[in-house]
Amino acid sequence: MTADDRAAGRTAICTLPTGPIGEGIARGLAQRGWQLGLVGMGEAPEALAASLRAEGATATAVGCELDTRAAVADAFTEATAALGPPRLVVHGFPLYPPRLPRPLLDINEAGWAMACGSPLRAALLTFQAAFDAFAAGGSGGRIVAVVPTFALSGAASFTLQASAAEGIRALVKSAARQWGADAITVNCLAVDGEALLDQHVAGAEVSLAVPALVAGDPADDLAPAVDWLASHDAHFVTGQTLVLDGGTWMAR
Amino acid sequence: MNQPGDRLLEGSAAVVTGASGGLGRSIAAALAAHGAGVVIAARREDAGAKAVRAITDAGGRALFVRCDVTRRTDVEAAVAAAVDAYGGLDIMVHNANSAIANEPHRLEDVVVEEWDDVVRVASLGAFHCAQAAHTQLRRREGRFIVLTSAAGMEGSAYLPAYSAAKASQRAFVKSLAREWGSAGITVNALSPVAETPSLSAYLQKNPEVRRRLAGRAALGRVGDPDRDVAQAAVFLASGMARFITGQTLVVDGGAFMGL
Repeated sequence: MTADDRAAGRTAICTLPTGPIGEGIARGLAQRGWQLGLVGMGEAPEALAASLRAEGATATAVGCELDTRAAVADAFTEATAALGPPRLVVHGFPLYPPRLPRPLLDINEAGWAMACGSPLRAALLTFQAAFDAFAAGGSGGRIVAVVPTFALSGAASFTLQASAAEGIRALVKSAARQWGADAITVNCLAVDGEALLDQHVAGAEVSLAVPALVAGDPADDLAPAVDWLASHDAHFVTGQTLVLDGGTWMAR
Repeated sequence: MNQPGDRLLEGSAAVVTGASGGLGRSIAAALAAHGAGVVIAARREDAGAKAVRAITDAGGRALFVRCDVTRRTDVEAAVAAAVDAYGGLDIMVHNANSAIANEPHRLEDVVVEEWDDVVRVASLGAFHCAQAAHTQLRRREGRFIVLTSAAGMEGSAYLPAYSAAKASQRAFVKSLAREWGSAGITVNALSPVAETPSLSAYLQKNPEVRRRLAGRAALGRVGDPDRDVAQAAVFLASGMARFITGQTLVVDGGAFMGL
């Protein structure tokens, strides 16, 4: 960590920090000295915050559906009041349960909204709230969006989730272009799509590629890259996708 | 064996969404010129009727169905019209765009209702087109073509909502290509830059944008929708492209080369 990093503060807001990937990144950031605002739906953020606090971290949970601009803004305000202005916003990828392969023909319009419409909207609203929070802080900030690698590869029976994920990846690039002048960098972390699925379907044939490395703990595998993207050393990296899947998808 | 220059789509049937104007109209006309019966599926009735007349005056087959792609029943009606008039469906082209998609905007100022409209026309529209067309397409080893944009691949400093919606189309195409390959259906994306009447009007007022757009293209100009771009849709729809699926064909005179 450089002096610039210390000056910028170590508060991060993690939206939708659920599942092994989202929780692992949050835990890894906490282990690296970040104090965390955990913004998401249901009981999961509070349970994660309590578990991180028990490990000695500073973490506060804010319940939020991420469905309106006002709701996300309020959640960010609450987290900021507790922890100070964020330097980093990590936006998790919501795979709504059941996290199972589902042929397109078996999905109705409500299913489209849940798998594609809502995740895209949640990303927009999170990015806007991050922009407002960084503007209030006055010294820019970092956004990292987590997406599954099947955004890039495509995946049979995950068509709508892949659509949402690739839409978020383009949103990252456009935001990077528009907000570079505001000292905001925006990047993507592409993670193994199968790791986002429910345990009992892990191994579903999402990809035929064999990973070069064996996946371990996301706190150890993924969080350091997020920490680096938030650091001064990564200040010239924006609009990019870091693929952290142990060398499975290499065809970009 | 088919070759460029033949009538490649003799006896086939197509639905083109957003075909009452712009590139959709050019694609519909090109499909019809190659022998396809075409359903012009669009919201604007007057413009749709004109597009039909232009095709029939040239000796082609076309009909209009009023269609808002965010409404499932409208898309089903367009497919049913193709089946009634032409005996089935070989080609579904999802080209429709939200009316507000091409208005430059700042991401921090986007209101969620506008965002939703852009996403729904592109993504929910593709979803409805796929579901409504599937039964017919699988009978004929059909083609599903979705219009995307380089903005979806490299982001856009001017049109972030549009870029997200168009990016989502590419992952949709890749995933559905994997899912429907066993049914013999190909699914591809077409990424054009074409000087449609609306873009032309904009470029007239903003000559520096024309210079920038043309300057990016290796061929040094903005494409013509009829002569430069629509033929690529004919190719993807034809038997010549039968082993191509899950791909994005960029037809922009060599502007975007990042694939």
